[in-house]
Amino acid sequence: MSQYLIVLRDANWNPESLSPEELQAIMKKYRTWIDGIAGKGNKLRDKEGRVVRRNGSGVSVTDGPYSEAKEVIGGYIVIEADSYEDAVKKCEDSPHLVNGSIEIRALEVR
Amino acid sequence: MTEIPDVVDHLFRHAAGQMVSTLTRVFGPEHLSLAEEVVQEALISALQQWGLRGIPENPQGWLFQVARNRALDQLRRDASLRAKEPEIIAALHERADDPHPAFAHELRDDQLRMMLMCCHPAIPRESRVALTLKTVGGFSVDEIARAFLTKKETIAQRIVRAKRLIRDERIPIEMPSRVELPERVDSLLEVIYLMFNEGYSAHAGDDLVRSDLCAEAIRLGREIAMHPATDVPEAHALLALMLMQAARLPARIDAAGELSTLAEQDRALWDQAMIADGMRQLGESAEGERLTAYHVEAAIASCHAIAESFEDTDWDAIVAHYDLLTELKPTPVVALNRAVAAAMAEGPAAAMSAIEEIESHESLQNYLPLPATLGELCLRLGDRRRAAEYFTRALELPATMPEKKFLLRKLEACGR
Repeated sequence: MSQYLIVLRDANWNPESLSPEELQAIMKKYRTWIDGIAGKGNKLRDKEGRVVRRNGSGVSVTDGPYSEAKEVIGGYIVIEADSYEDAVKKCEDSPHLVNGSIEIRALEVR
Repeated sequence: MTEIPDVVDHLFRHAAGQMVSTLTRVFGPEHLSLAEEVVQEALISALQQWGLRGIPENPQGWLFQVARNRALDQLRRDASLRAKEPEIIAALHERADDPHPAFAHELRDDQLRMMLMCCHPAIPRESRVALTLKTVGGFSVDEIARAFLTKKETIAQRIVRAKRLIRDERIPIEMPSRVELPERVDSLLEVIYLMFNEGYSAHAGDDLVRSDLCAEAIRLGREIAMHPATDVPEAHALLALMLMQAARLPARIDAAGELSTLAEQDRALWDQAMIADGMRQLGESAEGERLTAYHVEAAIASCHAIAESFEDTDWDAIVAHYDLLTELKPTPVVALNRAVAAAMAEGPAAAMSAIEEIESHESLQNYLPLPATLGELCLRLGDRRRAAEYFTRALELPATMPEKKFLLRKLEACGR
């Protein structure tokens, strides 16, 4: 068995809601602004205890709406398959294929 | 007939919050509970009448009118309030007949003043959130308790305490002075952020209430960002952050109730209009001289929101943003999230050693994402035995059903 990496690709990316030019302009504005300000020492250190998290019955102060630890854990979908063909077969009935496409890559074993 | 609960519920929240705000301004903050009672009565009679006769053409106007009549009844009973009669009539009368209130800006002012009062720094933080949700958001104590996994009594107590403080400290319902405003806006944004985070983080509890929390945080965040008195760049940054994170909510749980990771999420379900809105808000936020955590967190959210696929995510940019965020907010949770991003950019081994440095921090001891992340990294490094240990540890912590299913799936993967 080898491991295969499954990348879900989305066919419905809708650029109409935000044109690439508009997106570029926003990113550029933000980058220019943040580059200008980051060196100036105007960074506002957060006050301790901005974010409340439940801790047992009490409330502690550490969590935030971050995607990384909450949504990336699990990372890619990694499946076990005998062969590339087998990996393809295992993805065939994925509901993702209704709207998107699936990319499969064999993983190097470290 | 079947439409009634939805329509009333919708009006409950927003019209109720609006009416409570206006009545509190007229009655005075010390009579906040009275304002709530009056509105509650109006809503109950709405439910009864609409159930029998159907929904009137202008439900909001109808509610305002009933509330006005109840308020006037109250005034007549209370000598100290009698002098306010003309004000009540002026505040609620014309609105009652107007389907599209010409007083929209006044209503918005009332709502903002109310939020500022509820978020006054003299009130303890957790009471601010509960009070804002109850009075401005129109949430019931029961709903707030479910959303915060707290007992009803605890929430009720927090609200009572906050109201007592408002009375005893004579916290006014008014626009703060120019000097005071920045601090007051900070507190306002913090409450909105907490509200959103509770909805987004979904530790456990009622999913429906939680997405309502996110929606309410966005609604109020938008009020703040759009109001001329409070439209500071960081308000736009917070709104951008919330919009871009919330745009993915429909994809986080799949049809089978399983938790979907970013890689698994069906990006077709992401709300592109919300993402576009969020990006435009991010553009608005890039002004002025203050760089806040909201700015950086919004930038991180934007990296995810505009990535066409998981694979296309710009992890290097995300790690760079996290480096900046670490300066602004040097907490173990930020460090953990940075490590996850670093794992994507530089590989699991680097992330593992970054996490080992913060692992023992007290605030992370019952933090579900920590063992879950460590388990995942071990799995990627091929150490299934240790991975299984971490997932088992994660499963001992309180979690939602989708989280539990997710962890069990992971644990199973360790066995193979």
